[in-house]
Amino acid sequence: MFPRIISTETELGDYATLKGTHCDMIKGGRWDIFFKRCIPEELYPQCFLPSQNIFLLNGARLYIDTGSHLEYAAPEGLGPGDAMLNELAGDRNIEEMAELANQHWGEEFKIRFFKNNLDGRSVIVTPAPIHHWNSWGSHDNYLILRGDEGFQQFEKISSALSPFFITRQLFAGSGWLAIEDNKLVYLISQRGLPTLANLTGATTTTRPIINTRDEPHADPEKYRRLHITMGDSLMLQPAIFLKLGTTDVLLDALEEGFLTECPCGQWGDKNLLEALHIFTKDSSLSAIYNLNGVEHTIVSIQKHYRDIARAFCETSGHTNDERRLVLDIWDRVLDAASLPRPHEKMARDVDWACKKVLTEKEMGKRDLDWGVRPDQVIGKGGHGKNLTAFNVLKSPDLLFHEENKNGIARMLEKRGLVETIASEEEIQSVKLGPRPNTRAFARHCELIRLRDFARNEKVRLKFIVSDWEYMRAIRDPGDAKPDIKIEDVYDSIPKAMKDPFDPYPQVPDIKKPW
Amino acid sequence: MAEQEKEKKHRKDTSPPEEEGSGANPEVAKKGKKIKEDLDKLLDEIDDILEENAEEFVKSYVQRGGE
Repeated sequence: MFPRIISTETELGDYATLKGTHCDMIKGGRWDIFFKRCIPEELYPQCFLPSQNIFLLNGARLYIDTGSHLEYAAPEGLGPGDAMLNELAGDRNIEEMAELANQHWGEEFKIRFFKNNLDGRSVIVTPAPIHHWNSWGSHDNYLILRGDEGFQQFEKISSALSPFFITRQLFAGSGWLAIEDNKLVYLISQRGLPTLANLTGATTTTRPIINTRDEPHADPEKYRRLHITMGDSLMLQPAIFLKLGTTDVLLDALEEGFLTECPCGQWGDKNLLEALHIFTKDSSLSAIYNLNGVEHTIVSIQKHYRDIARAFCETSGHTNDERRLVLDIWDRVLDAASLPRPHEKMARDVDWACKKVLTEKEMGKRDLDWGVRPDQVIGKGGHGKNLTAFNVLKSPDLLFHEENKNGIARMLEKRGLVETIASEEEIQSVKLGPRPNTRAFARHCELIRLRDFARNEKVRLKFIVSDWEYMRAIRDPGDAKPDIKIEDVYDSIPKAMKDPFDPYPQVPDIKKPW
Repeated sequence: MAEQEKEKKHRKDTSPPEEEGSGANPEVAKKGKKIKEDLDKLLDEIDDILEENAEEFVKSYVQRGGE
């Protein structure tokens, strides 16, 4: 499929403080208030009844997920560039909500959102409590054509692409300073080891890597949706763009029959687990995994896939400027990854590399190095508590991910210290509504129409169904007299938004029964 | 405020001497050097942000597990 519909979902970590002390968003009933008061009017108007699971006017979904995290599911985009823009616009929206929350609650309360996947308790690699690590997700979704192989299709995808998925952290890992055997270690991704913990003892390897959802949110006779759950949340644009663009082109190559099997050997479950473990822990990118007598590194495996992707684009004609950009950046990152001290050469494009450079800078400032004991006390922090080497180095590792216009990642961008793909104008242009090239635009238009209707009629609407494909809203019964029947006022025909590629489906007029 | 020394110490460079031109693209190696210099400036500015409550922040950044 080219171009392909792609979307991403981001679960956010949160850190709330009341009078400087950490407080709980759930216990205080604060999520309730957040959804009522801290969503900008242009994203969710007052004339829609609030709930903790809503579609925003821009076509995104905002909700509290099962792990009690705020989750932003960005609207569908056509191609990796649009999908990246929608994700970044989501980040801007989350920043704005944090600002509104801080205004609403006043001086004593502060909430900060972090676009990452692990928390401050999930730092000890061994002795091995990785099963206790708190990890939450960043998911990427790809609409794929349903082939005739039935369930075998997913088997084919996983056998051809699993080595790609365990090595894509080379550019798509967000990095994590951790402790192993009381020594510092720099992991290149956050989700690498927790994914491993899920795989061990599992009967099917691929389930935690590739979630084969057969809810395509579209015509199930034509489409399926590939749902990748092992990705890291990323701040830097080239990394996001590459994560989505490389996966997209490889799926295309597979769909077109150009890629039929793994290009770098036969990888069994055990091999994938072992390699994932080794690669995640080695930020020098030089670790070798021996598969049946052939030596592989994280870089060599990615190079196999890059070569296939290039050859596919050259021969298939499935290429455009965007795809060429994906390949060029992939080349650039792989060249840098092949050099000594690769993190220094990759730091402008890749989250983990940038963060590792930041960490080493912090070390340099304080006369520390990678051999320092994590629990070494190096001074006193706020509140007179002892400051350990680990905590002072961990701080930038975490702060990098803050959803804040003055956060580290955004400052790096503003000063030209990291590469960008899109301008701030482009990101802002999709903040309140997606591009008119997918069904997400139709959803956006319908929600705007409903809002205007409700405002005009001076009523509040309650959504009894809101889904990627259709919505059903009624007048908020809260103000109705008991003997008045509430009729459906809006019910988009389920077929209307079934075609994910149609930004302008036919939807019925809004009825007005009162 | 933090009690530890606020004055900027001489930066200890944790990296070995650059090996320029040993890879495919010397441009990339040069860029790597530049970002290290630029980051020095940025870190000077965010020093206070990083030090303030680092201990409490890292330990308190606790979440429930997600998917």
